[in-house]
Amino acid sequence: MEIATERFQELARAALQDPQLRIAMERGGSALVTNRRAAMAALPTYEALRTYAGAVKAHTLDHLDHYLGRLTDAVEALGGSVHFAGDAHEANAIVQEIARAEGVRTVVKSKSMLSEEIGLNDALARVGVEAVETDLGEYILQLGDDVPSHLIAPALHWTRERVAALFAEHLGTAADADPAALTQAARAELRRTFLRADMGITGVNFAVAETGTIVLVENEGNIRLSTGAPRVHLAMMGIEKVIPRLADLPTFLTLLARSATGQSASSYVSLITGPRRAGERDGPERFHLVIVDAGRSAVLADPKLRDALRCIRCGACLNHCPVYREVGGHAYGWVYGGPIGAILDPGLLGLERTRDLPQASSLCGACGDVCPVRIPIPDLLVEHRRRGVEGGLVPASERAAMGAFTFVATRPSLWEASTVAGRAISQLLRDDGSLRGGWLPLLRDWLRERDFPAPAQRAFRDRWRDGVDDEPTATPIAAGEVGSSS
Amino acid sequence: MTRDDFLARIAGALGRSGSDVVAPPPEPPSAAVVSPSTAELDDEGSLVLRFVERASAVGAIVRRVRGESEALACAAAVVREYGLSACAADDDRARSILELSQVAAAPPAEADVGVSTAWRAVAETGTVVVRAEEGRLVGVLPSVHVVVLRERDVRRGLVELYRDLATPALDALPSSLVQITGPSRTADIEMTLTTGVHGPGTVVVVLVATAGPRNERSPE
Repeated sequence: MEIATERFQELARAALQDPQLRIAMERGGSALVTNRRAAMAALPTYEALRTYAGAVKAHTLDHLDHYLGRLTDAVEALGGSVHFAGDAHEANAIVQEIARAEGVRTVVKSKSMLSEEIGLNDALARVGVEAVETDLGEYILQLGDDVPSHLIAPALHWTRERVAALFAEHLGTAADADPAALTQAARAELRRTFLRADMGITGVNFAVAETGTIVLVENEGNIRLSTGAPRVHLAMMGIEKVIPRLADLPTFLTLLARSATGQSASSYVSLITGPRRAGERDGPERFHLVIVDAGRSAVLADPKLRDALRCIRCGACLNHCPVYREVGGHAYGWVYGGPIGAILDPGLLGLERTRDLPQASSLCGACGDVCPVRIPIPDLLVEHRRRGVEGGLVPASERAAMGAFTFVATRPSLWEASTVAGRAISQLLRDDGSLRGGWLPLLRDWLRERDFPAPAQRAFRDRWRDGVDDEPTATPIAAGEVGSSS
Repeated sequence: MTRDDFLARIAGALGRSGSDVVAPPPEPPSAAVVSPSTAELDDEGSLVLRFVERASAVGAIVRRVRGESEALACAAAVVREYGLSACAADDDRARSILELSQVAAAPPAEADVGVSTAWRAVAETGTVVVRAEEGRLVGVLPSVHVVVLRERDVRRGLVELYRDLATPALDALPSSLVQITGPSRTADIEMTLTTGVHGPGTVVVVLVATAGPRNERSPE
């Protein structure tokens, strides 16, 4: 996928002014939050489970060479082939070569963010292989020449009206067809493709080191068809997808389904352990596993950033992020958006070209609170910001402003003088009590999308010194609302 | 890259050498922690009731019968009710049901109904579990999937299911095992739930009460 992370500010501004995106995010965005909340309320042991899941992921990452070695041994013992790709280019070349060697002309693909990351469909097209996306959301995007904006709901930014118009053009459905009719049209069209495809390409949710089992989680059934109908199955995974044991799966499956969609179980969980065996009537004759690094070992080598690789791609941090919910996934400029993208992309692509992503957060902490593997996302956002400042990646005006603030804030007499100036500025208040700052050169950019609250009539320092709280409170707190913990 | 170069790069990133000892991973949580909602169910009757409740809640249709012959007759009637053609998994029971139903046999890609047998089920989530030996396509290509499940194969939660799956030999695991929870579904268009996208829109579980001991481990 083309990398446009440098253009975050421009893309975010455009997204905020896109009326279609506003409607789509409004309609789709809140359901995932509501559903997850209900699912977690029904799981009183949730905190213990995420502690365990985070600990297993951390343990596996700390010994990743060992577990990938075991996984490879197990897959090969079952008759599968394992391939190793150092970067995106090599990953594409490996898949191209497998397609050539296996005589593949048509591929059915199940949603894989890794394949989006490396641009696999284009790479296959270059060698004359047709790759058809089969996840409904991905299919919409492929027909509409678009890219995903969410980890589990890739077409979240499309309205139903826009899908109906697209399908009317390509599949001949009615212009006002509802989601059920649109889904049936896609089913009929894709069914023919499944049955003529030579190879199925899937991602990997979890790869079990001890047994060589590939675990795939879905709701639609396109993964079961992609791994059941074609004669070759190719699964591709980032190095971070391995887990030690089958016994780890009950926890991960429980957390993934509830965090992603609020289901207690996804419709289908497929455990694939090697290719078809003698005597079985269907299934792929050959199984290939492609393990991809593509910048991940550099994240692994950085002890402060390593935790980002625990991610199981549930999407909960996106759904709960006030910034993501406004700007959508495309503003981030790459395949991984939202809070996880804001900490992962700088690791994979370098901070130079992703410097704005860690800034796309109010540090409210919701992302960290909902992460099922306890990635300390807010801490990692701050860490990237710190490195940005140290590396001289923030604008000169911001550095000057923060320098001036530090100078004033660490000198009590200067600070006191500044609060006097602040009250003087409040002379310039708008009727609604917020500041007009258009004429202030340093504040102009900052105030373009924000209102600044008016300073209090008396500074807190003055009130503290006088020992009298004479500041009127805007909303008096009713008796019993606080301090009634008994 | 070669395997050795690839793994050496990762070991280098971690500052590890290949001979370093690997401490065991943390101990997995108990069944009561993973599946608290079914931890208290200790008799088979309440376990089965919970399965019926959960499977129905996720949109599966459950028909309860007593004994093997009643199960065959019920499943055959369901096949007739939903289709004019059907396919059966590679087992005697599924084949008998297809024969008994008297609908036309067809390959999975052309059949209205697919018939198979569940290996296990999970009460907590209303999930049925099917193994590869049953055929990978019988339960996913037709728009209706009929699964026969014995009550004694119902487990409380995932921990018990994976305990049954644990085995010392690699190839004793089935090449494919699918946990099926309700019909195929998607919400990819504006989070509007739609069923029957690629897999079956209708799942019927024929739940059989049978005498005899529970299966504690995987039958080979």
